[in-house]
Amino acid sequence: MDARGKESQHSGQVRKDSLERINGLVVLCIGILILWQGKGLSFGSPHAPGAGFFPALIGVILIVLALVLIVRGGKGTEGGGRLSASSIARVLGVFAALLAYFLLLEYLGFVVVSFLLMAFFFLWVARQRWYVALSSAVLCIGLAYVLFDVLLKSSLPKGVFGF
Amino acid sequence: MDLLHNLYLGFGVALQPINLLFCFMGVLLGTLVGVLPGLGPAATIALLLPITFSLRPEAALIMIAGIYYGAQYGGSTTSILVNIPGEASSVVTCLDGYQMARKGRAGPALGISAFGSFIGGTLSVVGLMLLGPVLAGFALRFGPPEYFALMFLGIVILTFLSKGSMVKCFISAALGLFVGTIGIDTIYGVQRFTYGTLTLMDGVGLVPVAMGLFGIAEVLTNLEQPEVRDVFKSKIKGLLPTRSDWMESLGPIVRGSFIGFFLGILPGGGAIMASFTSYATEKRLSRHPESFGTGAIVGVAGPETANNAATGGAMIPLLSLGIPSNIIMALLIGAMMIHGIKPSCFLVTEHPQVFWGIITSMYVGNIILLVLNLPLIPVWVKLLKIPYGILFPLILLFCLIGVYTVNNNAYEILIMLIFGLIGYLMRKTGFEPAPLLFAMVIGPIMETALRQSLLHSRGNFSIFFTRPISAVLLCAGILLLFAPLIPRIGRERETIVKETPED
Repeated sequence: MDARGKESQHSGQVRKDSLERINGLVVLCIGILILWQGKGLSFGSPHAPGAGFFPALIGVILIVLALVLIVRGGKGTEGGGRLSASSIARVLGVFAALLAYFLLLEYLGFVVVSFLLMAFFFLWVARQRWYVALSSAVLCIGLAYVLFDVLLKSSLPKGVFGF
Repeated sequence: MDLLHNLYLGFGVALQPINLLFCFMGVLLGTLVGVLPGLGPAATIALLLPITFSLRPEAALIMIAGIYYGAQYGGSTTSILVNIPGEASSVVTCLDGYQMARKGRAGPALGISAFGSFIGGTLSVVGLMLLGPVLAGFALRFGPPEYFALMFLGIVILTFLSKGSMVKCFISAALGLFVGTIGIDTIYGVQRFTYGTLTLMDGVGLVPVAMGLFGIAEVLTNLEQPEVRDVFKSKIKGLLPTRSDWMESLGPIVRGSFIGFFLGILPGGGAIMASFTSYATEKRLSRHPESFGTGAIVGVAGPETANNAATGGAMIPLLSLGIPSNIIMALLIGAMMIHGIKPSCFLVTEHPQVFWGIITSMYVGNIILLVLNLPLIPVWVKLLKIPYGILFPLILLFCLIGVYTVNNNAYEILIMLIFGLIGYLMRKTGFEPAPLLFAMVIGPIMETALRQSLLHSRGNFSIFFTRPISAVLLCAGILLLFAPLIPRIGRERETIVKETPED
């Protein structure tokens, strides 16, 4: 292996180490958060453990494990591959659409909001032609409606349009 | 004969037309998702939980069990044909199964895996039938310390077998334990981490978490990659293995049944460990170990038998102790609790129709699978060609509606999305989501057991080590916990888990 190869391997290890330390820091914060948020709960004593006993134990365990992660770095773990900008956009776009679905569901109603979501997925993510996308969306919602509302009799939310 | 009477009772339940129908639907759906990459059995069961709410408990559980072992079958089909394991326990099947397919022997490979699965599944159901009630009787002696120790061992085994670092798996499990504490404290009735919201009062629901971690997160991960799926093109003919195939495979099938069954019983173990152990055993016993990896039929027969036999074994701790041995079983516990059945050692006596109904339905399900699987293989191959662009919106829509209909509460959608994001980030940063879900389900049982033990012993932690059963279980857990620090065992563990894909 030439010097440059060694160097890039070295920097890869550094990157792995720092990624693992960031993971560790996040876990550390979660552990501290659990202890902080759970401080209002009574800890009790080992004789009679209270409601806060178990959460506090978990918080401490998390903090200890986080410290192990921070000290040890990325030894023996594989780093995740890098993502292209378009992949990130796809993932974020889909997640944002799902969040929008949650926010609009009870306002617009199941039929409308599901149609919008499906149409968005088929058009933007799956890149179907518009008539294919729209008809697939209608088909999906029809199937879902029959299955959940008609067969399983669960009441899907109706929106401002009355359906 | 007690057993005959119980079998009669069980078949009476399992053969009712409605239960037969749900058993059929379960194995069909299970095989379907086992075949479709990107949707594991955990996600499927979570997806279908809401549908089972309106059913009678027996029918619901029979269907869920059907999905579980149906997915086991389906997973092997994709391993052989496309070299993509439909799920973790069929990873080893890729090694020789795909090589057989490349040599034009896809038919016998699929055939022997179906027959092997059938035999393994059947034998393990017999084992379950014989051992289940005995263990349930034994479990009557279990007090809180034993339960705590058993669940500790379960978490350790699960993390030991998970891909990647054990520290990170423990972090995942600890997060799950924390999520399990949200809601009303069972002993004092205090609200914990609910922040006054009604949605969190009953605790974080199992369905939204499971769907988030395994449904939404899985889809998000799959969306990153433009798909590459190379379906095996040549025609599949001659599914029936030849006489010499049978002669070769008989030993591995019998050994695989036993390996699978007993490893399946271990908490945290199950199908993945069973299939790997069987492969390793056959390779060691073989007179031609060099033929492994080049399309040896024994390399398909053994592991495929073992992973199905493990499903029967995995039912034992669930049905007799009320403790899940893996995440699928954890979901099954969730389903039982939703139907008002408390899984415990009293299940056999309190709900015999459920206990024996599930067991015998597994037997019926195995026959359905054998009949169903062989003729339907060409259909499964066609299904592999459905583009992901069509599939993923359907999965997401199903998640969204499914989770809403559980309690008609839109906030559960939010919980699902949050856990979807958590699951996605966990996958990106190398944390396994499975221990989180597992620990979340057993968390409340574990906490109660711990607190009751301490109340009982007046705060003395030695209670866990002075009682023999709990001492043995805890020591086993602690040994396993530090075993990877010994270089040799650490390396062995890495070779076992390194090829395991995410569930």
